[in-house]
Amino acid sequence: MGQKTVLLAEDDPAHAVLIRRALEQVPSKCHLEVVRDGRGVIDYLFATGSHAGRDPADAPHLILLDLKMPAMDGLQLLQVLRRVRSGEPPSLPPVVILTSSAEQPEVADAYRLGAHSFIQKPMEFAELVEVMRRIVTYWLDLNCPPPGRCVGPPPDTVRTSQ
Amino acid sequence: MLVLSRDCDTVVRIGPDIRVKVLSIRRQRVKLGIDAPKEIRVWREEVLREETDLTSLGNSPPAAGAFPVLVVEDDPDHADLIHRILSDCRLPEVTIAPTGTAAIDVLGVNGSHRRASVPPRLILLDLNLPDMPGLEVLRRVRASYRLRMLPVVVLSGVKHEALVADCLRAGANAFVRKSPHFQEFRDSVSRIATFWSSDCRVPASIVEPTV
Repeated sequence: MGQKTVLLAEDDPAHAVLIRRALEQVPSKCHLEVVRDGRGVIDYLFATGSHAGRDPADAPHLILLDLKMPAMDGLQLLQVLRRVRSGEPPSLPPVVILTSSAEQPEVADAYRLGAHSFIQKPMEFAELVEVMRRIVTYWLDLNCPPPGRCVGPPPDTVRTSQ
Repeated sequence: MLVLSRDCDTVVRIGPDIRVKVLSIRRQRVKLGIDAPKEIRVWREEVLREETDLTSLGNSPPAAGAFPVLVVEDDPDHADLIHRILSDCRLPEVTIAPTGTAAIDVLGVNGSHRRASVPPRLILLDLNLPDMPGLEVLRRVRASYRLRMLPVVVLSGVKHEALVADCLRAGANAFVRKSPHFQEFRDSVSRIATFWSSDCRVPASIVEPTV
């Protein structure tokens, strides 16, 4: 089986590097793509903007999403994806929130908007490796992926502001 | 199980070269340090309930009683087994709902008054229920403002891809296939339990809507 792709939305390049290094230490190997914000996730998934020309049928197997990002933050992105997911086909990958803070209102909001799980990013690198291992084994190994890999047409993101 | 000592800091010698030290004791959990020459293989194992269970090795135990789970499962054998596995993963607060109606009653969806005293923080949902499809239970949970954020993991032997798609579209957090093999089944339930109770953050409590 080919390597699975994880799409990470993270605006802090230092955090992205740490996550990449942590993933490299996880026994089941996967390929990491990094975008800077929610807008980048939309462009990656639907092969638009800076990702125009990419094959949108080659969807990632998992999205890791930071909450606080510049152009479109994590909760705004969840709202957009929820609209896409409720239509046909529902083959978007699971979205896991990976963020440093874990205040309860944010946790509840993220789940209410359709996040599949919410993980607090640990401060220690060794713990980060362990967290990445658990995320990868749960979401890429145990969980059933959505059938089909086609993600459909890009959503109308103009109406995403609340 | 051989009990060497239940006193902290006790060092027990096994033969001339091996020393075992009791590092800490918390209820039934005893942490040991082993000092042995390089050529002797040492591996980690945990003994639970008189039988060896490697599935929860290395997991940090969540606080007892902090994570009630609702298991919607009509097969009493499966329900019993899931209950046992969850208890082994230190999640002793398990409510079994054998029908969709029972699940809806426990959750208090549609204004039913038999709500569980402690609302669950995770639902494990079977799809084939005697009175209504499991998917319908999921839809009602997601239609409720109070329960919309509650993690629901579908645990089903059903293989139809369309049903997986329906569950994800209806808002299931995860879909895990029930394995017909005992050890795999045990392992997957155990991994679900650990992931949701200790690796993840889940909503703390289900708040009533402020209307």
